[in-house]
Amino acid sequence: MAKLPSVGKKSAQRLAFHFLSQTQDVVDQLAETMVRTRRNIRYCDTCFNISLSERCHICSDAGRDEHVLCVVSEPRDVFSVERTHHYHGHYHVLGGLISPLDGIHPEVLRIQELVERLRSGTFTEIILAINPTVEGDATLLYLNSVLASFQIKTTKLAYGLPMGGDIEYADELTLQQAFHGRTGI
Amino acid sequence: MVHKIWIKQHRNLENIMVSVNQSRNVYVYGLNNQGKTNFLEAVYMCAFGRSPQESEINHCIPLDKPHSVMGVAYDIDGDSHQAYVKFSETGQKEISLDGQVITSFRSLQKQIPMDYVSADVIRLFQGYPDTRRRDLDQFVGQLDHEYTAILKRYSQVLKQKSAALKESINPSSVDVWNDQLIPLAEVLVNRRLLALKQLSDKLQLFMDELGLVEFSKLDCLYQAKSLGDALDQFPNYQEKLKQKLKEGRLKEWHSKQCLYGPHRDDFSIRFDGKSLTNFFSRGINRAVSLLVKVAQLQILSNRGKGFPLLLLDDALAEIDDTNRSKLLPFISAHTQIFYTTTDRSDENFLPECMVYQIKKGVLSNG
Ligand SMILES: [Zn+2]
Repeated sequence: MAKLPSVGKKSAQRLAFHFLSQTQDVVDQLAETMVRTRRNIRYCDTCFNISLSERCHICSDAGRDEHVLCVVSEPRDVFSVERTHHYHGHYHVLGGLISPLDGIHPEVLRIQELVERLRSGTFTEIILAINPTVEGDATLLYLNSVLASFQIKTTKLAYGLPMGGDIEYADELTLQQAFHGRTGI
Repeated sequence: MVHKIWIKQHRNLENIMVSVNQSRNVYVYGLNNQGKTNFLEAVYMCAFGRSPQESEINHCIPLDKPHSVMGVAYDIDGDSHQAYVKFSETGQKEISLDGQVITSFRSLQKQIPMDYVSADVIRLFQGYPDTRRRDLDQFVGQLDHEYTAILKRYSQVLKQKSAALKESINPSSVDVWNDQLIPLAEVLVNRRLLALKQLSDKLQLFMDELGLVEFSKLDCLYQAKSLGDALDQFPNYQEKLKQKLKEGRLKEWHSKQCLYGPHRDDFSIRFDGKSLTNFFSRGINRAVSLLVKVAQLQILSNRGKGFPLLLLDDALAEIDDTNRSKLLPFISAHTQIFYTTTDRSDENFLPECMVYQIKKGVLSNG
């Protein structure tokens, strides 16, 4: 259990004791939920957000603005942006950021899939909602060179975030402001 | 000015108190491995919260003890202050200033500006460029806190770029890193230049007054080595670096190394255009290295009201008696000095000092 994210040795021990104090039924149910989640969850074929079916609930929502596309690094960034209730367009999840140190090169990211979507899609605006870390900025620079051939208005979020700030930890107000203050590139 | 130091449970120092009394400087002598360096290390930790030798705090706490405690009493403009610092084996640091808990060492660093100088520092101009670069970066970082953040970001980009050079299949994969490096590099270089300007002004004054060398003009020359020349010939740094990165792209690709940028730069000191390293004796090189530290400390202390304190850890061992007899009274006129050495022979060079002997971690007067 200590291998789980943000679970250290001590927390793992605490969890183990907690499970011991529960009835077998409760623990069985929890384990079953975990197995089921892993089995049923997948990436959306269109936007690569996590999903329970081929098309996620956002891609299959006819009420969303099909002219705007928000590009993010991870599925968790979709949740952060959704939480603001200020964005009603579609998403594209890259599946990471360029980071040669971690073996993540541009070819590994879903950039080709993004290009395909732009070619066949109806999008007239792209919002790049990517953290301004060293890796985020590298990914932005790379995307700019790829997107330059499309005549689509491209903006990036104007973060009121400190250098290296993370969308995941930005509060909703900051993110809302970022959406309103996005800058053209 | 510091007038009292308490140290409890720091390495081999069980419980010591050093009082400056009516004097100004502190002189501690003793054989090797008795605790001289430990004493200065503890004083440094009072203001910086870390060891000057970059060793882990845990190694400073005796094995059978849960924590180390240090205290310092000092005055600023006639007002007395007291600070206590407690380091626990769990890594926790507690700081209190005049009875109030504070969370960062920054204000203490300002109130008690200090630096630690060992015999290694004396070889600043005889060593490799990376030693000088590290020293300069540390100085600029203390002068300007933003610099440290920019330098950190620059280093992160550099690490990614060198990984890209080693791992990618395409030389153009470094573009996204170079585009980030260039503006950061310019900021770093500009701030280093500003700091060096202050340093050379101060050093010029010191060298004029001391008269160790016959000269009329001293300058600290920044050397953007990877750009092939002195920086004053590069009014537009960003353009020049961009050009160099473009020209040298394949060279970097083949060597798998980041060859251009401020992480390759250096600085040197020149007297009337003659370089310190090539034209002057080792003795002069050592004396100037020491004066660089004094000058840095004085520049840093000018920003607050605190009086500077220099911790000299047997640092003048490689400087001859004649120069030592000139340097010590001179430095003492600019900063307070805590001085450690093996015997009492330098005592007369250091005016107004309290003398202590150290033996197995215990201090005794005289
Ligand atoms: Zn989807």
